[in-house]
Amino acid sequence: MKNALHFKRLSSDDPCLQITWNGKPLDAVAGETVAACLLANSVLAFQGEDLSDPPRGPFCMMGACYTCRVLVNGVEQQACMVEVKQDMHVSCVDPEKEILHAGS
Amino acid sequence: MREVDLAVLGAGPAGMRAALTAANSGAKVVLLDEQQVAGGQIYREVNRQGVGRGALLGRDYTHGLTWVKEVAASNVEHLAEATGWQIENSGEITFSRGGQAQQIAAKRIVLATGALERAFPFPGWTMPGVISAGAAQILLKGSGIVPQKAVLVGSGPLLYLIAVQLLAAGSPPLAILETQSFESYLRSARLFPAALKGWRYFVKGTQMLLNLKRAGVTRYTGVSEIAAVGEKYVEGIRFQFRGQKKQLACGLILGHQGVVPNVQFSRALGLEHGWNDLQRSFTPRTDHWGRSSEERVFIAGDGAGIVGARASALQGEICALQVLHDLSFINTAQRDNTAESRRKELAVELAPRALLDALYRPPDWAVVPVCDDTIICRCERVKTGDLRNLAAGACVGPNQAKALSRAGMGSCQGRYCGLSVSELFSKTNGRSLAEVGYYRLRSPVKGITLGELASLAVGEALE
Ligand SMILES: Cc1cc2nc3c(=O)[nH]c(=O)nc-3n(C[C@H](O)[C@H](O)[C@H](O)COP(=O)(O)OP(=O)(O)OC[C@H]3O[C@@H](n4cnc5c(N)ncnc54)[C@H](O)[C@@H]3O)c2cc1C
Ligand code: FES
Repeated sequence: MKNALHFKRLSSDDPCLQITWNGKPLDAVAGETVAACLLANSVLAFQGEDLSDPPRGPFCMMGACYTCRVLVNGVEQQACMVEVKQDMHVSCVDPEKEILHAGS
Repeated sequence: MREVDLAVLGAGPAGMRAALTAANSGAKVVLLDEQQVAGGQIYREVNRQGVGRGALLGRDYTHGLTWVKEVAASNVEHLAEATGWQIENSGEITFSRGGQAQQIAAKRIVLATGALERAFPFPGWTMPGVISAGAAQILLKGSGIVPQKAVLVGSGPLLYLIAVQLLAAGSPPLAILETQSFESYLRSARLFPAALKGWRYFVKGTQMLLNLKRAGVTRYTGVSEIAAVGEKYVEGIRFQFRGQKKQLACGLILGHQGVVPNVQFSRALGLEHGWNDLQRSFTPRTDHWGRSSEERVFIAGDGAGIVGARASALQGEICALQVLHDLSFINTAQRDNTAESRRKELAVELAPRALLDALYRPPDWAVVPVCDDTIICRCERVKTGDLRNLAAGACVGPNQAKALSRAGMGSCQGRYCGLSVSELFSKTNGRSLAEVGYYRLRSPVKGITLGELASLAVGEALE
């Protein structure tokens, strides 16, 4: 079901911002998070789609699971915790170069 | 370093009420939350909604607006987008804001970091297209996007609430698969009389089920053997219902098995915890003012054991009264007068809790997967079978398993595998959960960049 519509935006107003995802333009709506924007554009896997790894998508939307990590203008962030801004460049994180540190 | 009387971490109902109560009696209070606006989980973004979205989310949601406005109008210093990642028993809180780390010293701390959804591991649950039901609600509340033709699976009051909210948003779920069984109803029946004091909740529950029925949403009760179907993405869901195997085609699965206390800070602080069998989770030990095993640290709301939004708010007020008393802002009579009336309200709110806990207790297989191939630790992709082998061998518990298998070592720090791993050990080697214990957690409890750490060092050098 990769190409089916998975999420629908509630407002019928036209998307009014543009961001890029791995270099491709995407429509975005002010106020939504980067994760929501990707999902609304039917991007379910935020990582691993082109790699041999199984694809990885967001899960909790509240900053707890860390599977939504992406690069936002080159900085690794949780896509569910960041709001879209005009001309934001969002891309996959290189799994070898993850930089967020947590205690373990 | 800046000093305050009280630092409250988490601006949900518990944190907002704790901060307001303390500030209204003259204490200097900061309220930190990583979200952009106050409200916590239940009232997420309530002050940024147009009338439309608020109406479809319901009155229990819009109720929170009063408190959010009160915080904005009060003396509480609300630091939004402030992610706390380290707390010390001495009262120092370290947090990141806009890429910079900062510190505050507080005479007292109220932890009000709420709950997390319980992990619900089943075959295929790490595929893109499986998200938690709460995540779907957050997308609706915060970003105004709704899942299309999703299957809701699991149990608990929130599962129905979210189903009703999706329905109101014009995108009813394709089906609801409920994991509670006939036995769950039998087990909880004796708790019903005591729960009647909280009758409002039952009226609301019945109303929700009626709405779903009227809308023609199919409910399958007593399902088991759940599995997401698909190669790389979800294409359907398989389950067992009344002795028969069934499969539904869908692109999204929303799983939910209730919520459990978020113990990241209480664990990292080394506070005492105990096993709460009714809620099937560890809870930090607190006295009846919400004080933890550490004198300066209080815990209010769902983070101290699941109680729901209204009870969380009352607990926040009760904590704040004791904080005010500790710091001599109020005397014993003033504290006790207000506390008594809050405790009466709290008793009414808590009346239905035991019934809800028993009725929606997750089945064993939803906590520890039956199938050895099912992933338990999402971050490091550790499978149930590997952990079972460790538990059956010489490995003594979750902390050793972490070193041996990497389960719990990933960036979520065990948030979504910890309880399953502890239960797996208890089940395999027959020791009680109190004995098995939980992962030891260390700061930072949130992922931070080296830049943020460095900014702290620079800040210190400047002081
Ligand atoms: C996803 C989800 C959705 C829910 N939806 C509902 C609902 O619709 N209706 C309902 O009745 N109940 C809901 N609940 C149950 C909910 O836990 C309680 O009803 C209520 O919100 C608990 O209040 P609280 O103040 O204890 O915590 P919360 O409301 O959870 O507030 C905790 C706050 O702490 C903040 N926080 C956590 N960690 C950090 C950190 N490290 N740094 C900074 N801030 C931090 C969070 O951002 C959050 O705002 C939901 C729970 C979850 C997990
Ligand atoms: S989706 Fe879990 S951290 Fe963003």
